[in-house]
Amino acid sequence: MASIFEEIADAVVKAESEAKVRGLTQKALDEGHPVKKILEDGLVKGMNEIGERWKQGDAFIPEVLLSAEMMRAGIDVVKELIIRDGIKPLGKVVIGTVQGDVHSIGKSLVGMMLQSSGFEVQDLGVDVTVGKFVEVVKAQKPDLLALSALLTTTMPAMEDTIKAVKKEGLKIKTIIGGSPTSQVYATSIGADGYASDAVSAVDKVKELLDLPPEIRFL
Amino acid sequence: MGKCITRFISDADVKKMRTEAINILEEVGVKVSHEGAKQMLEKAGAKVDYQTDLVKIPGELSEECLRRLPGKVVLGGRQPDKDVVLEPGNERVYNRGMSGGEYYIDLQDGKYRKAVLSDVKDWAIATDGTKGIDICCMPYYYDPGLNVSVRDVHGFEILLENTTKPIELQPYGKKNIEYMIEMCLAEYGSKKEFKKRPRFMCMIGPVSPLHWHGNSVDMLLLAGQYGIPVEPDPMPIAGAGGPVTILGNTLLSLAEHLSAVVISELANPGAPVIFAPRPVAMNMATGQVIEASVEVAMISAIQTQVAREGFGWPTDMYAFVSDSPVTDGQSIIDRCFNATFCAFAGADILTGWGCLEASITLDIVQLAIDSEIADMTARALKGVEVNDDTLGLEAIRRVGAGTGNTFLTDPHTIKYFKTEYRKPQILTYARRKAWEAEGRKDLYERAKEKVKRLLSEHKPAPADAALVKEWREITERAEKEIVRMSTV
Repeated sequence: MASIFEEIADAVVKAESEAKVRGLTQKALDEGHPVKKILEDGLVKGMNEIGERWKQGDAFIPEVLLSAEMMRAGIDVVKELIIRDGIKPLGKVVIGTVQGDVHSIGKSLVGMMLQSSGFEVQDLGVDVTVGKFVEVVKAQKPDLLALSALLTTTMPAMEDTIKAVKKEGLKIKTIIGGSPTSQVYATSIGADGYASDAVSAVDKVKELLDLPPEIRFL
Repeated sequence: MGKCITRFISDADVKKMRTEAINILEEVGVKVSHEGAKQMLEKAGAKVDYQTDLVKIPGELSEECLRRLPGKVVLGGRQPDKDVVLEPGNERVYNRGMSGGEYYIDLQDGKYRKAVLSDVKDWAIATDGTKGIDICCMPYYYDPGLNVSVRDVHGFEILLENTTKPIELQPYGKKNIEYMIEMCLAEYGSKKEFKKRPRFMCMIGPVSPLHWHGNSVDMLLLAGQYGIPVEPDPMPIAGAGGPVTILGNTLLSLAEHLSAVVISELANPGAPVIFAPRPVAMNMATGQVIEASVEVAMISAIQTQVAREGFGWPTDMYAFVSDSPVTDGQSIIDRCFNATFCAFAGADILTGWGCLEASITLDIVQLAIDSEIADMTARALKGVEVNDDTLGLEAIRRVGAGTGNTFLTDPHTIKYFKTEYRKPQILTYARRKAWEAEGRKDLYERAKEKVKRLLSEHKPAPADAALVKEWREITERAEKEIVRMSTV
């Protein structure tokens, strides 16, 4: 018979219902299992498995996102205990589409993928001014700032944002993405990284923050 | 003899999609983040929520605005012989390049790089001198010395000077369009003359699903005042910004375009609006977009049919499109499929000459290949006229059965052999020996030679020197007056 952890992982992969994941997570808690084990051997394991399937080409973005929602539902159940036990996310990321640009799909996708990979993500939305980025970065002190742009006209706002953040002397890594951007462009504006799609963005963020690729929670 | 048109869905299906598009605006509504437009829509009978910007447009209001659309759309060349005229039953199909493309395949060394200012001039000259392309567009060049927020105005100036063909671009803002209008008024002398055959049209889009931002509405309204044709470009990414199914995606783009028609016609009755959707699907394996799959071609075809038959809208469809990052077998397969579907669905304008990599990259060599594809498409669209002469009845009788005679010198052959068959520009019909004797050049080589020759030999008719000077002054003023979009 499958262990409760295997059942949780399976429920995250199959993504039938959030209620099921919540129920199983609660059951594991009631049985007295430690939160760290529920995360590592259950919720995160399921997420890793769907991620692995995605890498093999056997799962697709909507399925990965659904599983991520399942994992979040499970995490909700153990949220307070995560804080109590001092289990930390991999890092804190602030993400947004730069000033003048109102396109959100790619940015949101990257945000969701980061979140489901164990990062704490604050999504500032679209058309985020340079000032707003600076204000949030100063207040929240995230480890990484992720900027998105779809329009060639708004790409320079990425440069402006990165310059403004650096001017504040804040120790933070930066990454950019969006259809017209490239590694060449990222280098030219002083961004630390570039990713062409949501999944490679996760790998790149881990690389920039010196985290091993397979890691989920610290 | 009209255009040879293929239908993809039935009359009843077209009617249903028309009805549902109108229903979406009435039931779901459209978000319009523009104070003036919201007030205008409310006054006309729409239900407006000023907090959320949600506007619900009653069916009767949509119908009323549809009736206000002009029957004919004219886009002016420098001289009237280059004008583009879109009207129902048009027998010809027009062609244009892709506006956009940040990256460029260098003509000399074949290397991939950012598009630069000098590419805009080359592009204009090549468009001016290439057969079959009727509307000129601007590569998204990169020049660190220039104010990026007036790149469209700079580019427009270069196009005005270097092509006699009409122009299409994606303006960045209302102020930018004002400078372009000023340049045109210098040429036309009066708003009245300009309105008759405006020298350019603008692509101004909503953000899917169903949202108009203030900047876009500002531009729609200004263009309408001057009779500048606008091309709203609904681009719901199938499975992300829009429904994943072919028909669902088609329907949402129709509803989004209809919302542009309502805003434009309410503000400026008779304003020309062209349906110019840019269908794409999300690549569910990567989260990036697919622009040229066979399913996207099907969306384009059905969009064209419903726009034409259901609404009577002129259409500009994304035909010469590819996901391949280089000009290769795939880039040709992709664009042939998409161009053929759009053309036979009855599109008025076939767009995208030169584009690669889902509109990110331009290859000027591809222009020569697209010219060939467009010429073949136009030939096929002409179709056939059935009569005794085209059936060759007399000739078949004359030559007879097994007489040893042939049709080679028959009067029927002499009469038709030059006109029935199109003469290729860069395709080869040579067999190996002849092909080897000609230097073993493949399609890309032949196209490249053609473009190089064109750029060295073709001199577009020069624009009036005083006008060129005035355009320059206007651009310089724009450079100073339009503030860079983002400032630290």
